Amino acid sequence: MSTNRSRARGALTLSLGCLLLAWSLAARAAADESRLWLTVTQAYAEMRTGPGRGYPVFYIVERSQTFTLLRGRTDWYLVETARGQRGWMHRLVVETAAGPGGERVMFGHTGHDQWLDRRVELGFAAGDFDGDPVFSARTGYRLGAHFVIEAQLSQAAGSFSSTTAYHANLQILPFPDQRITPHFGIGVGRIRNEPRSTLVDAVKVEEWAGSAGLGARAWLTRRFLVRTDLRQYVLTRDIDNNDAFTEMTLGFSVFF
Amino acid sequence: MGTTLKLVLLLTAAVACGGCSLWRGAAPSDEPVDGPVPAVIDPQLDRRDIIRPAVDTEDWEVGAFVGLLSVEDFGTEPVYGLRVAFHATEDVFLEGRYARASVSDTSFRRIGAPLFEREEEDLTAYDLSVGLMVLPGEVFLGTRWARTSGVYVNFGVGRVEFADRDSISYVLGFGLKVLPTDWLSLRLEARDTIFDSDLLGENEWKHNFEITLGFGVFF
Repeated sequence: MSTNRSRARGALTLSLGCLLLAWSLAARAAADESRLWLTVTQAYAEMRTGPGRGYPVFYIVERSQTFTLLRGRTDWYLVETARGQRGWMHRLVVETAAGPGGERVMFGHTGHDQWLDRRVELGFAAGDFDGDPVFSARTGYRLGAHFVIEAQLSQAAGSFSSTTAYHANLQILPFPDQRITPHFGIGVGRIRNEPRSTLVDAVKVEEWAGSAGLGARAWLTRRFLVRTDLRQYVLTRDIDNNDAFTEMTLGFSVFF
Repeated sequence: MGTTLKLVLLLTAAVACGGCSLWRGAAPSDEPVDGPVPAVIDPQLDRRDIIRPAVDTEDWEVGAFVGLLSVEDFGTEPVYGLRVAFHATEDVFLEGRYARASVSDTSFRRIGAPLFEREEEDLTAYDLSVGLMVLPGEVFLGTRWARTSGVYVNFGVGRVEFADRDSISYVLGFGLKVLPTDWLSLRLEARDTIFDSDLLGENEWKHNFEITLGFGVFF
């Protein structure tokens, strides 16, 4: 890999990062002015100093007092009472409060609904690619109920060569709603094999390859899933008299 | 009265009572009843309207960091980078990181055994890791300043590209995160990147320790 290319890539990443940072700061500045006031119906509602159960309770909102929601993070909401006191309340505590007209408060889907409605998946995996350790990142989109299209980038670094694979996969999920759901897939992409520069007569090979595989996804909790894959890549041309590679990985993904 | 008369009267009374129990009014018919059947139990269901407040959730955190990276067999160099984290729950977050450092082999050149083609080579490390907040709490500075904080550990997998070589890397780290405001986080992190390299002839596992200070913005 030439240093100029890696420098350009570094500059691009840095500028993208700065843009993202600037955009996030600007997004903070745009505040929402409309307020929804909720009334406490239980005996009291606890407010913590931070968005987590490890943070101390420092304020109690009594029954019939009102509060408004400012922003949320994971399962917690930053609330402000009518008297101006700010603190973090758990989603379940906010859901016991009543709306302005006595309505019930609910915050979208949780848990199992999220699993059933999942569309986008982002994850990474590590494992073995024909004897070499491999690290891959992937992003997938679910079409309908049973199909997933996925883009995957794998990089295996071995003692003699390093392999990079860019693949597009189509997976079929026969039982998508189960907690542990298997999948079968086929894919197509490019595999690039670069021998170590210390070797003599090193030949760089880049070929189209097809792949077929199977695996399973297991929903852990919230938006996490664990995934295992077994895949066979077949190249259109040999690398050192070897045209088939087996990849076995264990991965971790977040889904939305 | 004679016993016979008593017996007869008793028997007649028994038959009459028993017969009365046998003889009932017309049994209720099994045909369907016309019209709405009056409800026996009327449950008072609380059918209130449901509102779903649209609240701005900020589970993503974008930040940058600088620090010192100690590259095994070489020296300690400044390192800088960017990271993006997704906070899935209050305890677990997923983070992607990109870091760069510039490493020189002056020590080897001084003794007449240069390793690199040029004096400085770039080291690029990127990884995806899972972080666990293990010790949430508060930190105090003086008597007036208190902010929420947390100690976390993270472990992950990534890749190190160094001097035209690349290797899969495993990452272990821990850090202290302080939130001066709700949307800003400051992080002091120490981490070990474990990868294998054959720059010095043999394939060996190398440990690159680093300590970095960074910030993150939640959005």
